[in-house]
Amino acid sequence: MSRPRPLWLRAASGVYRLCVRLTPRAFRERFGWESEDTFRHLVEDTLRRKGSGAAMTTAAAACGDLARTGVAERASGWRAVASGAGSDLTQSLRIYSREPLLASAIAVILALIAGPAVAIFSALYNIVLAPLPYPEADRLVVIAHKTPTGFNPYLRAFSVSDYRAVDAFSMVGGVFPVTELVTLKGAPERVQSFRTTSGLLTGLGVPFAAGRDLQRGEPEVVVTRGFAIARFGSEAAAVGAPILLRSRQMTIVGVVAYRPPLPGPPGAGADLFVPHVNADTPSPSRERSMGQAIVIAKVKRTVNDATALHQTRALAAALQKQFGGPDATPELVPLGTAISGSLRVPMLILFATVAVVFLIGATSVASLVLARAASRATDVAVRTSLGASRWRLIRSWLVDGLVLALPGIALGTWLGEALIRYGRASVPDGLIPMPEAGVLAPMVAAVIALAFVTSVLFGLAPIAAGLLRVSSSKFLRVTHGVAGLRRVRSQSVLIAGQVAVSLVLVISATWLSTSLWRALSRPVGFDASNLVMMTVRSAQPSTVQLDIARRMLDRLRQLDPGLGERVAVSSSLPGVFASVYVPSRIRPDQPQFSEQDRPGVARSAVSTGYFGVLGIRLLEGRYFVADDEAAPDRVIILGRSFAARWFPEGALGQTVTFARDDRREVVGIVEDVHAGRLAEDSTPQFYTPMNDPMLGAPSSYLLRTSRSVGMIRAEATAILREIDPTASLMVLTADQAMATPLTLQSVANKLTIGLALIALLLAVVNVYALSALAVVQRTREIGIRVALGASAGDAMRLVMRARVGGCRAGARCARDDVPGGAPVRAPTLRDANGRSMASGARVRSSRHDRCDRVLAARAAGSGDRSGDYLTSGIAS
Amino acid sequence: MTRLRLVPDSISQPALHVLLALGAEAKHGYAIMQVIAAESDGSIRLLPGTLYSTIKKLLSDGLIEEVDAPNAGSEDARRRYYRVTKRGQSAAEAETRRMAVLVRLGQVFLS
Repeated sequence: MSRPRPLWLRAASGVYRLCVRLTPRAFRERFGWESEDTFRHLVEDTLRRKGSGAAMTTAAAACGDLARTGVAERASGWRAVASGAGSDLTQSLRIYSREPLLASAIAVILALIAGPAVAIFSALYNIVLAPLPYPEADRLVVIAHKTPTGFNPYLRAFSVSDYRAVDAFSMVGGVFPVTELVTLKGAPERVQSFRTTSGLLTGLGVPFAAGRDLQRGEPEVVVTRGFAIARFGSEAAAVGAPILLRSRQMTIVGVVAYRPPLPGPPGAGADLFVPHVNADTPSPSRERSMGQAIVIAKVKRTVNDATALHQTRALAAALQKQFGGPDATPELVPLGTAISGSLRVPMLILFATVAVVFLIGATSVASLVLARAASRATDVAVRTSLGASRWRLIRSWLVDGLVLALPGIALGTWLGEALIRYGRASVPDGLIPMPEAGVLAPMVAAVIALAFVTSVLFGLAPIAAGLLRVSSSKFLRVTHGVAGLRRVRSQSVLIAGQVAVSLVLVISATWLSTSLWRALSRPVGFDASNLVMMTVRSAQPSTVQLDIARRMLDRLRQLDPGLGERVAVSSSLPGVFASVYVPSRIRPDQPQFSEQDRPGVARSAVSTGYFGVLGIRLLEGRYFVADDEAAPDRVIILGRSFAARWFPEGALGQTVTFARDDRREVVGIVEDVHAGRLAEDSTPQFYTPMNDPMLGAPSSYLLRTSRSVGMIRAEATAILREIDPTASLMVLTADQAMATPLTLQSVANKLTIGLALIALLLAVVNVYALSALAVVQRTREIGIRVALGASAGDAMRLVMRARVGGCRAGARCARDDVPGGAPVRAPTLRDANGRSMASGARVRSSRHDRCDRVLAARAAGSGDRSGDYLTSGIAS
Repeated sequence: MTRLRLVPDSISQPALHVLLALGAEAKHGYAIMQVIAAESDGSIRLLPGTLYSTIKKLLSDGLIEEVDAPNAGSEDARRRYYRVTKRGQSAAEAETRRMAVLVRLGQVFLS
């Protein structure tokens, strides 16, 4: 009678069993039970002969020994895999050196799909997905006013002080993007800058590499690390250095560690931060026209968004009641949204386009890999017969795919870098935040993963699912057997889908190009030839600015004896940066607009002679005359669209009212000026005399001259230094000023056309690859057909018919703009040879009928009946 | 082309012990362990992990082979029995000769 086993022995057996679990599965299945049995006998024997102490030591040693064995077994398994993969790699390289065309084709396709994908994904990540580099960035908001077209973040500068009273905000600051003329050593240079309120950068959590943030009322500036290193050699050397800003002496007091993203023009990045005096220290009289600011606030952690919005709106309503002014409802826009702005949707559309092209490319590569797999059927069959395991074959295919994918991915990454460089060079500075550091590593990793999946697993899946399932003896028959009708049908649907998507992309690209061409050839409403536009930015109060504008206008008219009649000034450049106004009413005989229905109109305060200088055609009435400046808020000139929309009965002599006591007589109607040239419908426009108090002082000068821009810039700068030393000047030709939106459109167009052409090329490659696959799969059938009397042309038609059917279906889908389209009828053998058969010998036709019947029977059944088919074919 | 290795260049010490312990008759794992312990007066102890790892290697090298149990029913039927192959015997002889040379050299140099 056996004694009961002691508890420790049972525990030791449990531990040993656990150690057995650590060994590789194959070892465990082969020796697991035997090892446990031996362990038990060994320990019990030792216990019986030497006592429990020795038995325990033996058990512990045996457990340790098995654990070491498990590790060693696993390591040797991996070594075997690595060694096998090495030989697979050599094999693959040898095969591809014999098939350079196929390897190059796959590399080029992968590069064509990976390059744009990497570039677009990187740009998209930068614009839309990348988190802002601020702590608690999700609580940062921009206070903006809702407009019919979205949000207007530009508020009056004193709003910063106003909103500091909102209890829900832990920080409120203001920024305003400007281009500053900076003099360090030698010639002045233009530097993209932000006017910021004191303490804003610290409040946002931007780290300082050296120095500190701006302090209120001090002549100080903060620069970025890049700026400091480029100009001073190091961050420390920049701190304390003098800097001439326009004509004002200032000191660099801080260096921020990176270029902080702030709202402004799309993607504007700045290297210089100067004090926003008007926002930081508003005048006690609440001067209501002292500059603008984008108000950034940080919502307290303990306050939810709804409460913050409620408090903000309550304060805005109270201020509006106390001081009057336009009725506007503030909204809290997340800072990230305010920065990415209008680029978000186009970028997402571009992203979707690239994704579609990527998919088409993926299927093309998969088809090529599949065709190659079928052509290597003999190789696989031989290896299977020699005893290669399924895993061994799969591993060989994985290594094959890797060898195929890597050159393509490397080429694609290089192409992505090149595209980003092209984007940086083509797009005006700051218009789109192109990635600073080229392609982003995570994006490259994602594309590598996708390309790998494409080239390896796509090619592997059908092999693993279909071909490896059969025994080696059947392998050749399956791969060389007659293609089933179902397979032909699925290939046709695949081709139809690809051709449809490619054609839709090509049609879209053509449509975009046509639109651009039409927009370029469309009259802009004024004569842009020999027109120079100058914008002056001044820090003077608005009352002084009006006087400055008059003096500047007089001096410019004296530049050239003939220039007097060809100089004008307005509050905004025509067709470029028209300021949009949202009036509460327009006709005195109609009620006020509701908040949702308020229209956006473009307004401009212009000098007498403005319309003559620009060549804007007068449709009715008259232009402004000098006398109109005596009562600038009593007269108005309307654009054609404005007049037609609100005064369809005839606008001349009618009264326009924008506020309760505001009444202006329409004295003229002029042709519309098209904003940005690309807009289909012009925003309704109106003009008032240059000293209209409703608008700020005019600062955009227009000169019709044949003199060079450089000469005009030099002379105008000299005049401006005399009149207003604080002002900066920007001089452009009309074409340059209007180029920005066109350039952006042009870049987007080129990108879309490029993607469409890539898609079409990939679809063609796919058609070729699937045709090659079909030929490989139907080699025996084609041979029998030729033996039965079919010509080479018949055989070619047999293969091409399926492809053409797919392409035709794709074209139908593209035409109808319906993805998927009508089901594609699978071609039969009669389809392939039908016409020649019908007109030829009946005997041959009947033979083909029989072939069709056999094929249909085979497609209906599930078994492999290629033998039946062959017997039937040969017998007939 | 990979060179086909007919006889391993050298075999490990545990493998040689297993080959010698198997001798002419088929044995299961625990019996091999017992023989090794008995023949070496307990100075050499092969624990199960090392033993079965060695058996696996010898099987894959073709130096031993699995055979049916000599007395079916007497012990647990799940136990597997192993026997030295001719190739295994050659390898054991070669290794023993090599070690004998080594012992002789050691005696010469150490005496």
